[in-house]
Amino acid sequence: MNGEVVTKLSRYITDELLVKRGVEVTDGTPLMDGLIDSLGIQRLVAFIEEEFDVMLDHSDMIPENFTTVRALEGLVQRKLGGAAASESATG
Amino acid sequence: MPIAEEFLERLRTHTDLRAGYAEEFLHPTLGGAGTVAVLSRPLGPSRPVAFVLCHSLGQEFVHLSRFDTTIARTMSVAGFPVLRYHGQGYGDSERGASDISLTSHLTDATDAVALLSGQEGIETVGTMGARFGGLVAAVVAARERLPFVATWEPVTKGAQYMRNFVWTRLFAEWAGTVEGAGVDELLETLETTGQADIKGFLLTKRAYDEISAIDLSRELSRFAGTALVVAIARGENPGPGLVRLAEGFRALGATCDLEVLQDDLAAEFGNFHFKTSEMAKVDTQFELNQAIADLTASWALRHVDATFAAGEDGRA
Repeated sequence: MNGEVVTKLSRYITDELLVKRGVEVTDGTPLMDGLIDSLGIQRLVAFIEEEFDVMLDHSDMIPENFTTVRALEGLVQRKLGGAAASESATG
Repeated sequence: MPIAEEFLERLRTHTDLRAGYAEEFLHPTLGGAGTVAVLSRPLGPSRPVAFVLCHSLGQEFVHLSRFDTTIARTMSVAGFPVLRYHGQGYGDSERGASDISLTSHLTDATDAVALLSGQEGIETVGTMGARFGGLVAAVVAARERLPFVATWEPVTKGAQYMRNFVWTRLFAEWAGTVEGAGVDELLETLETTGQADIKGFLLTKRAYDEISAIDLSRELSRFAGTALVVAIARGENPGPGLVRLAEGFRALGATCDLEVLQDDLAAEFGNFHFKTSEMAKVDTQFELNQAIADLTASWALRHVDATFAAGEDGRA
């Protein structure tokens, strides 16, 4: 796991998105069990794209990618890997 | 029964003596067709700069209408006339929802700038807007070389905004608030019929494609005026997109203030923001709206006075 990605995601979710404040978010905390609402998911998607400079597409929009910080980190890493692979292929 | 035209004429204006503003109801042509607009003016001395308030897209137009009113009145009380209007496809405009696009928003706003520029006592015009309206305000300010622009949580990347717009149904399904989101079906409908209903808003394929293609950072190559970017967040940090936008403004030689307004319900900005209790229906963003308006008026007073004290005419 990439510690920096996990830290950024955890901090953003804790600071901005929790429906109820005061919950400790670890990399395994279930996010979709009422911890984040639909407006929060919208903001989370925008944050991921802007912070990590990746673009999510329709195929990324499955609940499994958003269940925990660990799952989100995996999504970010795949997108970053995909972007790097695409750059090296064209460059 | 004869029409009491004098009486009706009196209803074209509304004056709030206690707050210190007056509003005139207009029926201008914007975007090539008739619509309605409201020009708010100070009752006291008016400053030489006025603002066009660009509204947002789709449901955000509805959810932010009260916010727009608060902004217009607060700015007027501070001495700045503000023109707000219904763009084509919205409210009381002549055209239908299928005519709404990025082009229609930009054309309406550009025409509104021309309309406001021709009003008595107004020397210079700036633009302002929230969310998608912020993107429109910034693009028009850059293209028309306007000296002032204020944006609140502006959309910076059209593609991200459109994808999120479509995905709202999906997110609501995940959160358990709706069933049967059917995003694939919705996208297929958009592709095959040229339009789709998204939370009651008729999104056309043309609007989807046009908005998806716009990136604010590429559109600002000419802006060298004074900008305000307001982030609305729970925490003290603005989102990375707004940080980049402010840096982009400064790289062009513009003056840009990036401000963060903290609010627990920040995510609701631009969304439904009423809560019904046993006693009443409460606007959960009433205080936030006023705080944003006060911050914006303070920014305008500071920068407009500095610009005109320096003997500049305000053109960027």
